[in-house]
Amino acid sequence: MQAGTTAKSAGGPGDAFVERLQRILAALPRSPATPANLGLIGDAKDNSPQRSELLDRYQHLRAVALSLRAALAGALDDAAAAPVLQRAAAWGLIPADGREEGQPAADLGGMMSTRLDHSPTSSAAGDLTVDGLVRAIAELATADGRYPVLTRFPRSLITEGRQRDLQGASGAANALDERWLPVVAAVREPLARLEIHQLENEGNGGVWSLWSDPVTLENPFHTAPAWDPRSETVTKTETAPWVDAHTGQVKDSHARLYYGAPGALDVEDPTTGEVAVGLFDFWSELVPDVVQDAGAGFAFRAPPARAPQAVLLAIPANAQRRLKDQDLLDTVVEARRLARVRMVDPHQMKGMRAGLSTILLDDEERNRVDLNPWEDE
Amino acid sequence: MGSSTQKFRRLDPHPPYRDLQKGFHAEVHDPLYCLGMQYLLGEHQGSDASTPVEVRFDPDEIPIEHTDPTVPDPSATPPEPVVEAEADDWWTPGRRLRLGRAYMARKEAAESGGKTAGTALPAPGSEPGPAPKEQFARYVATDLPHPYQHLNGHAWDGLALFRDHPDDPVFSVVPNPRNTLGWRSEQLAYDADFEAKNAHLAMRRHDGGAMDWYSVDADGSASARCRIRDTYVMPSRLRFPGSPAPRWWEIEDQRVDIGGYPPDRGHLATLLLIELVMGIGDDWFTFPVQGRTGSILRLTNVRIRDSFDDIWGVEPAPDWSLFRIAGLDPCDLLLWPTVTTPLRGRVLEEVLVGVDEDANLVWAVENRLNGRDVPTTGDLADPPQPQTGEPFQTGETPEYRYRVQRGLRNHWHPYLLEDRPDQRMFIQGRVANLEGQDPQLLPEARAHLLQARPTTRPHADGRPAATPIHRLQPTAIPATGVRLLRRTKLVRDIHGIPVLWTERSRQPLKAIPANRLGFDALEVGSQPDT
Repeated sequence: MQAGTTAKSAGGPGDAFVERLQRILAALPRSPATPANLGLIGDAKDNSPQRSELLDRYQHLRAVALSLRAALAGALDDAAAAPVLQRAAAWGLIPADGREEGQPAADLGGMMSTRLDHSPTSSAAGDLTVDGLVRAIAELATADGRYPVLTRFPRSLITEGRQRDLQGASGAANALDERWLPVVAAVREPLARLEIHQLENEGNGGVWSLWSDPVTLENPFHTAPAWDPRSETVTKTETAPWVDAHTGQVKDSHARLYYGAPGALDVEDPTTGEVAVGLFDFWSELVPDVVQDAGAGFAFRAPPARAPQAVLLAIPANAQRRLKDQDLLDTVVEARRLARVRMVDPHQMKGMRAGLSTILLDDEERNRVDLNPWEDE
Repeated sequence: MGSSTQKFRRLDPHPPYRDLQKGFHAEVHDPLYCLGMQYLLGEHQGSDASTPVEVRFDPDEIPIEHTDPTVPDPSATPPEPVVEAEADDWWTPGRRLRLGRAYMARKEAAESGGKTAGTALPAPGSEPGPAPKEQFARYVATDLPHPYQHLNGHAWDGLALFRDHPDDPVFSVVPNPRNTLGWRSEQLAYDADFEAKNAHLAMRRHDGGAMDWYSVDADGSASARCRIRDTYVMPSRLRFPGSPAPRWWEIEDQRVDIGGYPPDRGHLATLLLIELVMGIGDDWFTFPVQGRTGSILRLTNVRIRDSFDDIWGVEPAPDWSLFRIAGLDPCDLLLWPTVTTPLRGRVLEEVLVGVDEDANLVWAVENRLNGRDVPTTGDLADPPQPQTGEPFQTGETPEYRYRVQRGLRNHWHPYLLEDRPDQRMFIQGRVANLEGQDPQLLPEARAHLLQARPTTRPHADGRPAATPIHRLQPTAIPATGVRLLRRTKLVRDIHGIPVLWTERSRQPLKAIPANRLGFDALEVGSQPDT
């Protein structure tokens, strides 16, 4: 799937095919799906089976790339070079202008080396995240890095969930293509590409099937027609349908929609194995609350007096021994003495007051803070 | 003579001479020191002042309404789509394509006798097929935005079909278009009017984008009492990041340094904050007020009960308010159902508008149309010019070429000043290419931003209404020019129902677009015309 390079060299009637292929590639998700995307419990350390599989895939891809580079370096004559050049073409490595004279194998080997030099080694890839592995695979497999990389999940995970959720909601999913997709596609470009794919394949069996969780099926926009916030009966205690009435917290309002290639979501198909899953798009939306919390302010001359803010906590020096009354008294006395030491006023400091920082002291008589300490000396 | 020596020890924080920022933070880790300083500064002295413990008030809620029933309910819908929505916002690209296809499929099915209605269009990328019948030719989609553009010429446009056949059953799902449009094409801004019982709320010259209470002015008084509830709440001390602590030596938020905010004319709120903090910053109290969104919330009969059970009435300051709407009562607060994070589509149109003082006209430059950047030079680019000041060799005779016109640009549209006694307006014109055998007019402006609103309804026979020439008020264009954008946005109203609309917005430019259009020029360094 070297769309970019092949398109330039194809020419003629093949352009339409390549153009269509490019649109299909553009419609595919660019990001792989993670377990959290599917509503599964995610692994905080990113040690999901999907990441391990991506790592294996990258290491295998890199090994194949290394063998291709070696084969290109060893293709010394035209007879040996022909099959190697064919392999290189699958990687998007095509001689400039399609010419095969000169030493095309050596040139392509240099291009392959450049790609390998910019890709992480197999051992370094072990530290990459899912996104990093996806980027490494795409940039190693293609010249421009624009290549959809998907993750694999057990097919039963999709079909069993769909079979369970379709009970009682049959047919509602099809309406989403007409009701939901045209609206969100106007502001989400990945979904616009998906909508184009659906529109172009109507009637030829290529339309992707759709599955959604029950919440979305029943109410794709999370609407609540029966709930009229302008009703006179609404009081402050009433809550929106997406808010838990007991806790006041917003419920899990994730809505997931699954699009699958023809047959991929067929619950009647007993095929097991794995399916490739990608993330088309994700976003969040806000619904304005019916009741807004505003506020008003007023000035009120508060008293200058404040209650002391220190709490004396007496702890015995020996944790194994109870605190006796005398110990408690000694503690209080010591604390008072320490506090008195801290309350030395500037006059008591005499000559030492020159070292007192007065920037934060109020020049009021009651505080006895003299801002001219040398005046009376 | 005896002498005695008194010795005191004093604990002070280590002076942070080397780090000014730590000095601002005034970190103290000794509670006894704080306690002692409170004593020194008189905070432990008694006082007979009281503390507010309860606030009672009667809130009124006056719902906001719109005079046009086809406009979404402003008490439930964010104000941006209420004001900014266009007539055809329902017609997303997907709906245009689906309904266009459905209409033509129905047309095809209605044909009998093995005939075809001639509605087949070649698929994108396929060999060109027979042209559609002439009667359908104008329904072929031609202006689908990115990324639908490859379907232009290969799909039917449901919107074009709907305009000519609005009563067809296929279009029964199309909602009624709104009657009131807020965009004022001659001002490049929005105007809107709302009602709140006896009050009239006017939004004038809104630039597009976020709206809130500050976007409107009022005329009249919303006097109706719609909902009265005797409400009592507990006040609390006003707190904000960096606010002064009630105690002088209480440990304050070291992450905020009020004195570090540079006050200037551009930050009025900063000046007010510093004034508040440096003045009576710890004598302010707040109380919560819950109001129904989409209404004017009015506080009446506010009473404060203090810790001595005294009741104090509170009236707003007669001459100052921070959140006051001009024309409304000082106790009124406008609560819009605002949404801060709408979903935004790609910019569909971008137009730069600037005044050319030398030519005494306005240029409007279409940089983007239908979600795609458009070249503004193309094949009308100037030929390469010799560098200014390039010396000629001695004895060489410079060659000149006469050009009747140069500097033409695609998608540059001039506006000429029409100076009438009653008003001065810039009128949209078209540039003609005078370089050929016959003068050729350059294409018209295509951007919706450069179109005037039709002043008449469509003709009875289906012909569209005459579109007036776009005019601009001189006051609509600042000296540095203006950048106009048009894009699709999506929000939800308080019911959770999505509201899709196309927003226009204007932003100031830093530099006006420059044009080198000139006439009757002699160019040096070219072969003379023969």
